[in-house]
Amino acid sequence: MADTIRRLTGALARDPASLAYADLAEALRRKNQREEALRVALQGLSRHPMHADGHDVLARIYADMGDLDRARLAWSKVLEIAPDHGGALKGVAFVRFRQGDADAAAAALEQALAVDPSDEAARRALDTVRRTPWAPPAPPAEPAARVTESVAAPAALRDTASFAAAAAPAPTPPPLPAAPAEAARVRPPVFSGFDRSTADILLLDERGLVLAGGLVSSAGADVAEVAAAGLAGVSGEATRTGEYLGLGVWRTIVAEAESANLVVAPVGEGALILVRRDRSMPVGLALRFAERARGTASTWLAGQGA
Amino acid sequence: MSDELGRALDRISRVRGMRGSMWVSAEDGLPVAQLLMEGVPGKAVAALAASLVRKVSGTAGAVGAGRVRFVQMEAAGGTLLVALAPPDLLVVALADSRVNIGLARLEMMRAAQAAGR
Amino acid sequence: MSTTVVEPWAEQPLLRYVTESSARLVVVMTPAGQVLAQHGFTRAVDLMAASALGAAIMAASGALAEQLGERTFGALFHAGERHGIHLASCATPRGPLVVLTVFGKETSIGLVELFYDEFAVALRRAAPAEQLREPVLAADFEADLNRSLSTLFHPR
Repeated sequence: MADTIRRLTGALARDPASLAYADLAEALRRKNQREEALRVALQGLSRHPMHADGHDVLARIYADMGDLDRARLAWSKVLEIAPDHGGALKGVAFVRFRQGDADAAAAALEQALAVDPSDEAARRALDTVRRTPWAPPAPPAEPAARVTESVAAPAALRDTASFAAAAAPAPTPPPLPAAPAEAARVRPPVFSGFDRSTADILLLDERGLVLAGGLVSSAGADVAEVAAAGLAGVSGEATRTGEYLGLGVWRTIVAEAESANLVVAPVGEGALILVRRDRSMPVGLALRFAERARGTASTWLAGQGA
Repeated sequence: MSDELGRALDRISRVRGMRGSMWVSAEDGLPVAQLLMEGVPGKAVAALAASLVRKVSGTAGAVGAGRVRFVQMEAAGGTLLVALAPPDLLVVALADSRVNIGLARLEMMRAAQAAGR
Repeated sequence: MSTTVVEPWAEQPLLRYVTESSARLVVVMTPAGQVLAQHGFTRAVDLMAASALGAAIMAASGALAEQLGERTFGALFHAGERHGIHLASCATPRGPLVVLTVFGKETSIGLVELFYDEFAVALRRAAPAEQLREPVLAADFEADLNRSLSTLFHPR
């Protein structure tokens, strides 16, 4: 390890713009040299602000330091840059789990597995999360060896970290998770009057940022931000698909899934709406519902001057 | 192509409004078998449909909707339909705006289920 | 991620290819391994290794094709657990070029192949006609290579 740090330090000294900063920060983190790791990561990210793996390392450093809020923000940044980043999805799951929200943790791990079904670390973590009847609180101080269990590959093209061992339950009951209404309450009540307006209808912009509405997991966790980040990628892909295949501008995407039907549609220029309906609602009806919600969103956006 | 895969594509392609159908490797985005009208870009359909499904599946997982079974993308000039045939295949169909989506979906889901057995 | 070119005509096609395919690393080189453009590399030593290995694989593949009586093989594709590589050659007025692409799970070989085809066409259209060159001595070649690497990694 000391050799690795020496080698990477030398590489960075020879070429300060090198992406080796991320590997160096990771190596320092694993040696519990967190302050140094943080300094290296922040310096590297100042040169490479859109480097997803760099933000991933930064998030892990913050997680080691017990600063889960900063860790979550850093992993959210990773997902903005690379919505399918397995490490960030697992990181978000880790934070949610630590914060006592097993369902949000499971949702993020399921997404990680949807991206890479061969990710055994995510699968094991998901099994652990599902077996846990309640989730542990964020620990006051966490030894780095427990939090950061698995090894990141040494090359610049690094794989993701695992927290399977760190997901083991602690022997104290969890704090109450934030009520979903609180998160949605701060957003404009655009869809009041619609069934499940703050739990199943989400308005977002094309960059993946939430504008109104909300999306809540079955356990009551706010998953709006994670969904919005993913949807921005869906919209971009749909636009490209329409262009390349000569289908023109896309109008709706309907996804029938095991436990819900999803309808995604553009709203004017630069915004999207997601409507989630239970499987018991026929797809045709879900589309009509979504069309009404889209009309409401469009009117509201026009009123905002958007 | 194998008889079974070919027959499935044949049934799907008979739905009015269909411009083509194909079996696609979900992970690679490569065509496995196809039945396309002239001018339909099979390679592009396969790659882009697989990519779209991957992104939609990620979002569905994130919102707790579970595993995706069917995706339809309606656009101004036509429709892209995809049925997932786990563990690693997709049934993809490209259609114009007149297509009977309900019928196409039924045939595609039937084909996907048969492939999964 | 940075994109740098030795020959300016390659820049726009490469930028588009990288954006559409979501490739992590791309090298455009001559069959001898001389780099014309790259994306994603930050160290000269990595780029040298990639271009040398890519050129060697293409040369070996060409020799194998000859043995089998084939004019050439198409693209080569290797799938790893976390990454894949795509290696292909394309003919341009500048001469034959080799393109090495490294990609991750966020994209697929289908997408890489799809947009590689477009990229090859764009390179053919953008490349200037090859100029008559003096025979290159070994010493000149080394100097040529060093100049290319210097251009690629010198900040603009």
